[in-house]
Amino acid sequence: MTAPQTQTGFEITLNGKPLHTRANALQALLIEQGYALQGAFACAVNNSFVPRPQWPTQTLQAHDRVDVITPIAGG
Amino acid sequence: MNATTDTGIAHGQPWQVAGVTLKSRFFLGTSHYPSPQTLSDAVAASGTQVLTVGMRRLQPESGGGNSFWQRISALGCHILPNTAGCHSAQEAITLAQMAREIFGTQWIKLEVIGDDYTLQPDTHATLAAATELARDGFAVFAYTTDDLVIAKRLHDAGCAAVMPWAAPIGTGRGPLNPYALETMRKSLPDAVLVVDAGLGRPSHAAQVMELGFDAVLLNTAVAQAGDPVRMARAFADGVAGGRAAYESTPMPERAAAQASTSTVGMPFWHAP
Repeated sequence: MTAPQTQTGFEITLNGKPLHTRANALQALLIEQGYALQGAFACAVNNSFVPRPQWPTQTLQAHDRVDVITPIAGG
Repeated sequence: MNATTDTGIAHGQPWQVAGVTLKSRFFLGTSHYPSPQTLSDAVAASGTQVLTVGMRRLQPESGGGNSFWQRISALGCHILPNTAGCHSAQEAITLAQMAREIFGTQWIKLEVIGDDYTLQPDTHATLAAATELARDGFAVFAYTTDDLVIAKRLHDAGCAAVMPWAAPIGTGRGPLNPYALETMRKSLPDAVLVVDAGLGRPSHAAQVMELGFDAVLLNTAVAQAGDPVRMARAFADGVAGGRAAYESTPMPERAAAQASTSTVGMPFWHAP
């Protein structure tokens, strides 16, 4: 799959860490960063949940904060 | 008639929470076990039908998070994802929405921490989040203190279960305020009440079950026991014993001693 990309890219935060990306949509970012899309995880942008069907169309902008969450052990 | 699983645990009458019927009244956490196999064995020994799980950030190089989830899925229990670590209503709501997608369940164990030292919940934020999540169709299992009024508010907000602590998370100190727990049980007879956090020994679990709580939820007391598998079974028996005692109506306490053996026909005794 070809990920939509900008020419020069921009700065975002991924899981709390600064990141320079050229992906201008959430799914493109996930692919760019090497996430297996079928994995057991969910995403939020700027602390708002983004349902999986919306990943391809969820646009990203500079300074966006992206979180990718997965199950762990818990009490 | 008691339902008995293949583990031999006398669960008592089945009960209902959040639209499902359960035999076990013992919810178990999945953290801090010495090994994945010990976790699986402890789950089997406990007879639990509900497991709690957490959620954290996933780095792409860590493999997709599927190994843990596959192991937990294979245990065949209902999954109760938690919002542990959240410090605001909005964080908890967002994490609950993410959990619903990952786990395919409306169940959410709502935790909003208000104090990092005691891990005491922020009950105001918990109520705000619970209200919104319940409106959105979630079955909210709300972790709270033993405060009666906030428990009433959470119940009125539509929570599937209200879950007061016995003591701060991970302390194992047992019920610090049994009076408050007993008062909550008597004041909310129609609510599903689950004691969550602070239990350290099976006798603690039996104690709160004798008060009429519907279930207990714990993790550390099993996971960090010297023998987690045997302790899981010990807790299961404590929970079942406490529930059986509650259903059997314990005798009232008396101020004065009363002989168990009749004095009628006692030899060597003659009226003066």
